[in-house]
Amino acid sequence: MPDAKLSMIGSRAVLFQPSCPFDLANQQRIWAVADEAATWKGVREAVPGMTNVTLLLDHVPIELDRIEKDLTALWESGIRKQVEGRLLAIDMAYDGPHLAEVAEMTGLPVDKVVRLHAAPEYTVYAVGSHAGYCYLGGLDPRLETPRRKVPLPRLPGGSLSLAGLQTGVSASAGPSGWNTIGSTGLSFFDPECSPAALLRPGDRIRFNPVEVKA
Amino acid sequence: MIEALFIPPGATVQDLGRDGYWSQGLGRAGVMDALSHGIANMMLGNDEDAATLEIPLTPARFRFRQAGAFALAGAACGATLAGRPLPRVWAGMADEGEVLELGPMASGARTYLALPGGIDVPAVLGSRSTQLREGFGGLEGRVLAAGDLLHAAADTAPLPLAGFSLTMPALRAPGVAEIELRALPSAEHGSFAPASREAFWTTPYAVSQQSNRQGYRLEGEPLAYAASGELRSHGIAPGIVQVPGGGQPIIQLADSATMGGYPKIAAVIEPDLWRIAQARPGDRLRFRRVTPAEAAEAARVQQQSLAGIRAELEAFRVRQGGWQ
Amino acid sequence: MFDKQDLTRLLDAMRAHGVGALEIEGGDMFLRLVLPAGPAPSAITPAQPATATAAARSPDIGRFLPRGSDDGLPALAPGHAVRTGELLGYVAQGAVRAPVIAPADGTIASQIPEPGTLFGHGDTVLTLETKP
Repeated sequence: MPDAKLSMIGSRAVLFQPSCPFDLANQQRIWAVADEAATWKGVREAVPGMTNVTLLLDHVPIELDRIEKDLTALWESGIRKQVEGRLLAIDMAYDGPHLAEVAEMTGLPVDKVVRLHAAPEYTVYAVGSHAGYCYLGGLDPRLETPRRKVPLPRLPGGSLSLAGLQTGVSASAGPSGWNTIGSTGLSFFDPECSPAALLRPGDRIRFNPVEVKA
Repeated sequence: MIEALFIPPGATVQDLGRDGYWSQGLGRAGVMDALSHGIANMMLGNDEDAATLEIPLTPARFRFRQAGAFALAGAACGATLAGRPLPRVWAGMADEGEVLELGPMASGARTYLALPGGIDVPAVLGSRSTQLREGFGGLEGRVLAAGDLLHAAADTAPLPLAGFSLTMPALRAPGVAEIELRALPSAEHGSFAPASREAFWTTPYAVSQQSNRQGYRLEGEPLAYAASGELRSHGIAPGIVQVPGGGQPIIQLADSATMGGYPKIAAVIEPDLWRIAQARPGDRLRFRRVTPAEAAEAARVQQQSLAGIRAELEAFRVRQGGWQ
Repeated sequence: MFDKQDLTRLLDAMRAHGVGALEIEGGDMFLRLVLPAGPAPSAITPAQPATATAAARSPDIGRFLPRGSDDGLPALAPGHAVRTGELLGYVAQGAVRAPVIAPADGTIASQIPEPGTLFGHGDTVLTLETKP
């Protein structure tokens, strides 16, 4: 668990991490905190993470105590944002380079890994890491794996990966420290569209396995 | 208008970055060395946010298809215009047909080329910075290649005919071999072993070859993270020093992911990010711990220094105008 | 304090009267003006064929900053061959560095001024020996 509730992650960026279980109800509280903090004077953007909020500020904050107090009060007030998000069905080829490794780490046969992964309806908890990338909640805890010690420098867009209790699909090529188990051709980000990102926190995803190859 | 005759892959059109899309997973991108970029623009009378060409690899050659003003600031790279050597910080005129040639970078790692009014490319999502990963912005979302043409957004720049140079802050303190980076302790700082915290703040870390716009991988005393369990993914910002399981730190930079999950030991303050941009593989970095108040003061001092240079430039323009 | 016009007039007066250095004190102000010396006698030898000289002049009022300290250019020394348009050094005020440019092809025939030497606009900073 994190050491402190509020910490600096840049000259003008702070991270608020309340201690709480990793579930949808708490993530809905995070969405509400982010929405409210985004309206505060001096806040450029409020970015929900996985049960945490990052604030990007106009100026270097010298009153961290006050910011922590305000965010804590908001958190403890229990406000929640319940979103009736869209449901998106995505065809997914379970053919990633680490599928066999994940089977080994979890002690499950490959086809069981695929069935457990494709079973839930996932909720988009947060959008980040790269443009359009969605952090999904709802992963079966039996599929929990550690992040890779050395991140891979380049994974193609459309890669389905998991680490910890999190899973997601990359929207473009780039480095990744997660375990990759699948691939899809869907586009998650288009700068010509408004909003450019396909999905928002609260939207839901269902994976439809079209191939399994370990 | 200039034509790239020869350029190794890696040069991108950048401005100060794309704000407001972090929540959609789109990072700021933008110049790695905002100081050199800002100075190059200032010398031509451009807005601070005008797009420049960030050049991380040389040699490179450009031909001026039309006469015009230009500015260079950043790493010394033996720049010549029509064979005449230029200082590493320079604003001057080029005649039609003249070739600007950049040689090997002896020290420093990036140089910035500015044109009057900024480099003229369409703004996408509010910025002219290149989003390399997503493939948009800047020049068609990609690195520059031979044959590319760069247009200036303005016809002229107020410039004394003979050109001029500027004094810029030194990368290292005098007589010091390492590049000092002021940093704030970050979220997991307290969860690192005491010996590791001591090592981080007192021993040098070398820039490895795996260093680019996304981040710099460093090599030095390994850092032991004493807590267990995976961190939940959270927003990160350029300058954050992460420590993956291998124990070697990574500084995330302009093209970094908007979220990460590795333990964070410290965050380099914004006024020192340009020093990282000018560090070459093999250069040694040393982190110096500061408080938020000191970080705020550093930002203020840098702003004030730039405002001072701007005022001196204006006075110089007035003097030069009077003597021509 | 002196403004640009005052300083220019003072320097003109010094040149006109062959005054090499001038110190002015008053109140809490102290001003020292030094004009650079001409070419060293050793640069002119009687046995040499006829040569011409050219002056590289100061483009601004300010203090001399030599080439080669932090600008990525090689340092300049007497006897170096230089080309027309070559940057020989700077006359700096604050952060602004106005370039001292070689007016012709030639070799440096004077000492390089001490860093910090004050020059007025148009003053000779360096003398070049050129082909006649």
